Amino acid sequence: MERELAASPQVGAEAHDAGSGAEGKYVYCVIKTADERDFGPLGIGESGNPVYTVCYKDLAAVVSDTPIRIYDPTRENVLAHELVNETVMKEYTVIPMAFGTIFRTRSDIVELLKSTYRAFDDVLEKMRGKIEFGLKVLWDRDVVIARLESGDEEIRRLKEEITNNAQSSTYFARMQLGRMVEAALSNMANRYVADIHESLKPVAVASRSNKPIGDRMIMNAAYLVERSRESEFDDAVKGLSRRYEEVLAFKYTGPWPPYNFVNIKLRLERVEA
Amino acid sequence: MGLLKHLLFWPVTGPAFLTEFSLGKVADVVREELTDDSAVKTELYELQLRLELGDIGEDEYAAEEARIMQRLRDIREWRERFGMGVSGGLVRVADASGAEVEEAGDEHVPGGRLIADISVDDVAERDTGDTDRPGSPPESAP
Repeated sequence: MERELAASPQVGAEAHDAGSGAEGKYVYCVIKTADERDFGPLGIGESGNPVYTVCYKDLAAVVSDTPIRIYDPTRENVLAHELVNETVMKEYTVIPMAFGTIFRTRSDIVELLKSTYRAFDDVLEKMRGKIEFGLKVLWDRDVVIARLESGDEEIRRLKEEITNNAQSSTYFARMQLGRMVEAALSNMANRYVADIHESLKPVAVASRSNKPIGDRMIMNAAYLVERSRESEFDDAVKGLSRRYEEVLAFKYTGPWPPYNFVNIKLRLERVEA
Repeated sequence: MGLLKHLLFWPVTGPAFLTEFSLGKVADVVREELTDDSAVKTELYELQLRLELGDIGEDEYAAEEARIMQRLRDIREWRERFGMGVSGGLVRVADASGAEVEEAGDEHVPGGRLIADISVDDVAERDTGDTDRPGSPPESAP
């Protein structure tokens, strides 16, 4: 089961119920503790079930009781899942589980922790004291194109020509202009991204670039940062945001559990008796 | 357009092309389409972005979201039908007979054993470029 970022909506969720109303345990994350903890009535779903720990040695899964069902990844459900991790994160290093992960019983969860003990322990150690921040950078193409046209000789000249000879301007000339603009845009985007990256690199432990979403986004990155350098990183991002405030919009979020830096794949293997 | 091209021009291009794409191939393409949720997920993230940027209101968001959820459910069903991995849902640790896998030291219990592959990306810089991860969870900055 691959770890993904998703959440589920409640609408129509009844269709997915196991029918028998069987109860299971929704797992939010894994932490390092031997303590029996209660994190409050934050359970996903409308019930507000308590969120508590299921321990095996000094590893614990953070769970809440839930009907066994498929949770749709709606904002509402994702946020509920996130809220639990956020709460737990205040005190522990968190290895987040894929949204919607449900185990049938306590002993199933113990079995998970037992068989993956070393791996989880290892990752928890690597991620100790580290948090993730998300940075999405957007621009307004029209604004950028306007700047381009005023700044770039060649583009401006070609555009003037086309405008002045509107009747005789060939399809070719327009295509050429279009291509030049696209190339220039792509160039600018790369330069912005490179500059932002260079500025943040020294303050972060690691970074990961994801695919930008939609037309306006030019950068979609996650940064792994040490807690002790959180405000330093904050300042760096704010500085960049100010520097580019006329052209770029920064969407800066976090701290998150290290979603982008940990891979968890679960599979069931048949063991011969 | 690839396969379609052959179908449309079959009388012209000749029966040789039929041997090239057997029903198997068509099935592959169809299955690919039925079970690939990456495009739908991108739509979902774009929708969320539009909401956050104020392009759309809550009502419009909710309506679109519901439609996308239905498509995700459909894809999930197809994936299960084809025996493909799905994300979320019940993790079955017990074996088919329903017997619980017991924690009993090194005793082997017949049935399934849960294996987890957990890896940490090299904690050094990685530019992965194209990936199906959208990035951080939906904007809900604490």
